[in-house]
Amino acid sequence: MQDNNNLIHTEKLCKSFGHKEVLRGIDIDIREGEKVVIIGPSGSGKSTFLRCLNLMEIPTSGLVSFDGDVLFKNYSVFVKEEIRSLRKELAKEIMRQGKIVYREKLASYRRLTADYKAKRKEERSFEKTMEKNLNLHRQKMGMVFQHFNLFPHLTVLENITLAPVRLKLLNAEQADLLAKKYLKRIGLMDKIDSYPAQLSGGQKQRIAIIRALAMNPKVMLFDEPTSALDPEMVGEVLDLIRELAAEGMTMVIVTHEMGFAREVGTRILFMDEGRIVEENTPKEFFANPVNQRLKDFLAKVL
Amino acid sequence: MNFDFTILFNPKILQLLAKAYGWTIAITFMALTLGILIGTVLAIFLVLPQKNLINKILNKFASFYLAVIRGTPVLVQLMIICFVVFADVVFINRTVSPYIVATIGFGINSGAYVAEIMRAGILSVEKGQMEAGRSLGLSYGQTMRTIILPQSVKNILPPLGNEAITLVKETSVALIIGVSEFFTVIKGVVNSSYNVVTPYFFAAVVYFLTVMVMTQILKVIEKRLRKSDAR
Repeated sequence: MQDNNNLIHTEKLCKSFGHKEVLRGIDIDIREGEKVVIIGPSGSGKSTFLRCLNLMEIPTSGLVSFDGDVLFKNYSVFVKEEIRSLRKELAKEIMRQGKIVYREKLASYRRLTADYKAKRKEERSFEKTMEKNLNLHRQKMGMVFQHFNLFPHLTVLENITLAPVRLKLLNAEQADLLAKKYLKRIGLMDKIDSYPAQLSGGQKQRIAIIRALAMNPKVMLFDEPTSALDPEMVGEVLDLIRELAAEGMTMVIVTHEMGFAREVGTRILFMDEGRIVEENTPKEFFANPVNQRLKDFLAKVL
Repeated sequence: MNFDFTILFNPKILQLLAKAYGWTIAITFMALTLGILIGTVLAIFLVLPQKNLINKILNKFASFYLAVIRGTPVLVQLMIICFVVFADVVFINRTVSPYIVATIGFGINSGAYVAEIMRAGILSVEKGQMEAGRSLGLSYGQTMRTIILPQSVKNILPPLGNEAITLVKETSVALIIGVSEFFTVIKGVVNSSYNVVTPYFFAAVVYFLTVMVMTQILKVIEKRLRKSDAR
């Protein structure tokens, strides 16, 4: 169906909150080893898009697949819309022509309704089986949040080892060793028994990153990892992300740090009003922006 | 107002009082434990995401339980439990003692109040905590147990202490189903000695001291739980 290098794949991905459409059909393929950076004005849906990739946010319709497995699939919404418009048309015909109804349309209406029912049934059973699998897939998708979301009641060590041990990926000793290895690497070995409240923002975010790394993920999703940090701490977090990028980790990064985007990204996306409006290599993206909205945006932030 | 301590301070009465006081404390803590168990389960029912039918039914059940229990006086509930639900086993077969019935009654009652306390505690934990847990691949239940509930305990403790204090004093209601708890004995002393002042004031002082001690214990526990807040 899709070539094997595609780690993440979405089709017609839509998300609405009530009547507000936040994502309006996003198609993307992310290959292994790619570092995709998403930029865009606030409210453009970039965080929502990122959160839809590991189903932190359940999309309204479309398809999300990860590592060759479909995580989310809902096309019945599209059929439903088709049915709705057809019904309107049909009603119009009846109004105009009295009882004479176009058989053709009626037939297609029936076909669509049947199609909708079948799709919905399939999707429901899929949703049920997915519930368990989703947790397995999420283990392979590390996520780093804007507000760190460390567990405040646990020590740094416990924060890192909790998930790998609970999910039986590692035993307690292995997890401790791994945590220590990562803590040494980021130079926070002395904080091993501290609680998150005792750490600075930059330290918290770096711990949050290695907490995600301890699950040995295939891809890391960064949701504005430096937006809640004091300026002097942004550097240390970006340095760590840079290192991971150099090691070949696949990444999807939502950020406002343009310099960092240009340096780390292998592909930059610009999102506006729930759509990807421009997509290019970093060099081209910043040197020769095409879209007018992007030009305005870059003029403001650069 | 004529105090006469001799009616209280004779060995026989003191022994009775001590035993009855023991029952009061025992009923309180057993009922509170039961209440916390019921309350935790109900609270989880109340905060479950409303995405499938089972969750919705559990949620409705919990809401109904809360409405009924909080909407009727504990005295009436105790009467119904003792004289209707457990009437046969308590009064005819005599296989279940009224002490157990009182414990169950107070437990069921306090479960409803604890549920709301727990729910508030769970909701007080930041949304990001659930997301962080889920993003690591933990299930809803695992995240609830290892991340959300432990954090909510800190916020739950003060109102839970409140509930415990209310419960100690509420147990005095158990005298109507024939449980010989502290206040029942006090009442007996009043009836036999025709002195109202001394026993009632004595009871007030004992309840007051009990609550003081509980408050201190709670403070110690709370302090210990707050160690992760240290900066």
